[in-house]
Amino acid sequence: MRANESIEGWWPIVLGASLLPADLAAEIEVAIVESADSWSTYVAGNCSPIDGQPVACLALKYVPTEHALRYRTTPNPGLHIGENNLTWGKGVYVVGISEPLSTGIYGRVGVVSQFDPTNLTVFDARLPANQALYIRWLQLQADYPDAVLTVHSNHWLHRLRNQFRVDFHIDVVLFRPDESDRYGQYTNKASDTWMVWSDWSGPLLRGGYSDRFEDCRVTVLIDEEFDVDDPALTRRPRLVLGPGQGVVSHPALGLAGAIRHAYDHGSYVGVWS
Amino acid sequence: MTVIRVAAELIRRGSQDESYAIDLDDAVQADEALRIALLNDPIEPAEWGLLKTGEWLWFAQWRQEAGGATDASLLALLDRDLQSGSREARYRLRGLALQDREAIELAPVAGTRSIDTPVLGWVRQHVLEFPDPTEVVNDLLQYATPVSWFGLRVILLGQRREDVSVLLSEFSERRGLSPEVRRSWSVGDDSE
Repeated sequence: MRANESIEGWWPIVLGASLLPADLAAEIEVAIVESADSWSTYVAGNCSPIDGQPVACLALKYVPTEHALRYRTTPNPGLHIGENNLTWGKGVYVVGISEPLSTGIYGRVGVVSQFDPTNLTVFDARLPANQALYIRWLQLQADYPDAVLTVHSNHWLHRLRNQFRVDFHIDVVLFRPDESDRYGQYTNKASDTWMVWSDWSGPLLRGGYSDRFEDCRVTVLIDEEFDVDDPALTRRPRLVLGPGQGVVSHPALGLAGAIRHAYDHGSYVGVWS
Repeated sequence: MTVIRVAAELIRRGSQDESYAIDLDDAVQADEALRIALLNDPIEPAEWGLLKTGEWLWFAQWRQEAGGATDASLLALLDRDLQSGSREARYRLRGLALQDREAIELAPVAGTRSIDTPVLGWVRQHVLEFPDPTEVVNDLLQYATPVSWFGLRVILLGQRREDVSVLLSEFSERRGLSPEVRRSWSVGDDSE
């Protein structure tokens, strides 16, 4: 769905895109259209049939053990929408199953879920050209000077990322990791892809639990646990052991395949460190 | 005991720590009556002391994002307290009114009158009285909703119209905005 189409009778009520120079608005629209190809490639790597069943696209989100209990059984409320002060603002942050340890720094418990990859507006922020477009957009915002020159800039700039996603009704942003484990054994900042998903209340981003991910279940258990370094750009493993990817029962599947298999059979994969 | 008084501790914690925000969402998901009350019950002045300004601001945004109503008395409280607050906090405060569902529906037909919706009434008063009109105009343009255009129309009929007209012209020319877009906030015959 594109920016000027009707969403539950609410659109257009946020008209920020109309306040841009026409050439910039058009370039962002083109970037979104072209991001569909990136999305197709990404989806292809994360969607495959499970034991002869229909194709399932699987996402992974690591959560601390204190929040994991709700995902031991189904139905459950689903994945919680993260607050504003995250990389691309409010949303659900997940990775595809093809990079199964990439966000393991955020909790010991990997919750696997299914997502529908169709009918989405995607912005590929992994591309430098698209990052430059975003920065051009940002610098033209009416509040940009105050956002960078007054206290709490960090919070405000995250909220402006929300605004960008709202203005162009972006469902998914793809981006490179901006945090990692200290020794780079779990997260590859150069090549991994993280994504944030939007849940909408009319044209606005909402909080609470996401409707985007179904059948959320505890499927991965990592031995290692991480502490936030100061500054919080890396996370230090407590046990200081690399991921052994301890998949004993299905070594031929690789870790992603083993997780997919475990998800389908309601079991767990342990990743011992 | 009011619902705010019951939920105050979770709101207080939720505003500081996402883990507690999850607990608040769990609580309202498990109790429909609680959810409806938290999203829609008016907030009484006697309750204002239950939370700090930043906690009220967080709760008001939580309530709006969950589909609830914007409480005009809370807007007034926050307006008063945030006059000396951070610029970012006032940006968030204005968003509560500029993104309010009822106000958005009524703003296009309101002209420059507040009709009988408290939120449009708050916007009307705020844009006329806030000491720094440039700050107000920037936030109106930043949110860019029909309520923003309502606020701009109100200013353009007030004593600040000359300064604000210059601001809007500079903003529009820098971006090459079309006459159609500029008409969003132009003042017509429906004014006071």
